[in-house]
Order: sequence, then structure tokens, then C-alpha cells
Amino acid sequence: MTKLSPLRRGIVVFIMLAVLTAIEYYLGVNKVPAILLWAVAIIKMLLVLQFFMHISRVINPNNEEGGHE
Amino acid sequence: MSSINKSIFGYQQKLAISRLGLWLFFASDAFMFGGLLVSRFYLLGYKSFNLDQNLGLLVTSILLISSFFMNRAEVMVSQGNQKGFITSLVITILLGISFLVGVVGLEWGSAHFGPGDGAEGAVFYMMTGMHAFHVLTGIIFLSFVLRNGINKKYTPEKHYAVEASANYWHFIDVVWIIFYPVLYLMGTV
Repeated sequence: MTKLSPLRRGIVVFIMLAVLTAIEYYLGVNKVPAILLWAVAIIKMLLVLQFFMHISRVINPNNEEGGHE
Repeated sequence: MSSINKSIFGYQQKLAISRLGLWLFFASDAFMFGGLLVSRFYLLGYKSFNLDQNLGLLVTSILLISSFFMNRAEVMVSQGNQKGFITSLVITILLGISFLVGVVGLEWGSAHFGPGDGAEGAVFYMMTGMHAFHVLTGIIFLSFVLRNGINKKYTPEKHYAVEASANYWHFIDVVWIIFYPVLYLMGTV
């Protein structure tokens, strides 16, 4: 994922989020155990934190990949 | 060390401190949303709100797409693509407004309970209301960034305001990622 250009990475993450949302909706309307819904939500949250919010920039300030100087 | 190097070093220091400050704000805000999340299960147990599933999926999709365009705006400004940055930012703002219309205008109007109808109403309107308030402040924040962007105040090297507004917008998305299944998908009638 880190080898992709920032623009392509955004598209890939968006597709993953869309697929996970569709899975979440399907699981929700079919009344599966809540633990599965929590698992999907946490994966989605981690994707946004890592690839859209760049949490690694705060944890490791020297890692400026995809950011500005 | 030359004056240019000193200037870059100073900016990097400021950037690191600003980022840390923003994330501390996210952490404090997360406690507030976390409290609302806990109150939903404490007061209602595993009872469902019985909301319109299609509308829930629609507003969730709108917010997800807006997050994509916000990320795109941030990437565009870092690459010096002014037109792409402005276009992506305008789309994000419009999608944010659509989300607000969907939740406050449609969902609140179609819910079978009001804010005063016991714990169910209090929890639902507080959770969606606080989130909608954050979306509103996000739209205001993005509007200021848009105005500055049109006035060409951001460069590929210096655009922290864009990064901060993007992170705020993504934080709103993260909150909804958790709220969506809790409000719409979990529980039994």
C-alpha cells in the first residue's frame, strides 16, 4: 500500500471502505452477532486513521511520507 | 546553519507541535463521543432504534465519499494542483451539507420518537445532534480553507491548515463509522 501514489492509495482505501460498508450493511440487516459489526467498524476506523489521518506522522514525526515538508 | 535551514527547522518544529495539539483535541473529543456511546448501551441495552436502513446507508455513503474527496483535496494541494484542490474541497463541502440534510432534515423528521420521548429519544438525538454539530463546524472550517485556497494562500510546502481541516473531517467520519452500526444496525426491536 505504501508503494502506491497518494492519489491511488486514497482510491484503494475508499474502495476498501465502500466494500466493508456494504458487508456491514448486509450483516446488520441479517441480524448477525454484534461482534462482527464491531470488527468491521474497527477495521474501517483503522483504515481511516492510518491512511487518511496519517496517525503515523504523530507517532513518528520523522515519517513524512505523503505529507508536506 | 543557514537562515533558510533555520526557517525550515522552525516550521518542522511548529508542525510537529500543531499535529500533537490537534490529536490531543481529537482524544478529548473522543471521550465525549465515547460517553454518548456508552450511554446508548447503558440506557437502552440491546434495543434497536428501528430507523430507516436505506437512509442510514445513504448518509453513511455520503460521508464516506466526502472523506475520499477531502483526502484528494489534501493530496492535490501537496502536489500543487490548485484547481483539483479547490474542486475536491467544494465537493467535500457539498457532501457535508447533504449529510446534514439527510440526518437533521430527513432522519430526524422520519424517526418515530422525539427528543423528549424517554431515554431512546435523548440518546438518539444527542448522538446524532452532537455529530451533526461537528459536521457543521467542519463545514465552516472547510469554508475558511476554501476561501484561503481561492486566494492562493497554500503552497505544496506549507498547507498545515488544509491538513488540519482534513484530519478534522476524517475524525468526524471515524465517529460516524462507529455510530452507524450502533444506531442503525445493532440491536433487536
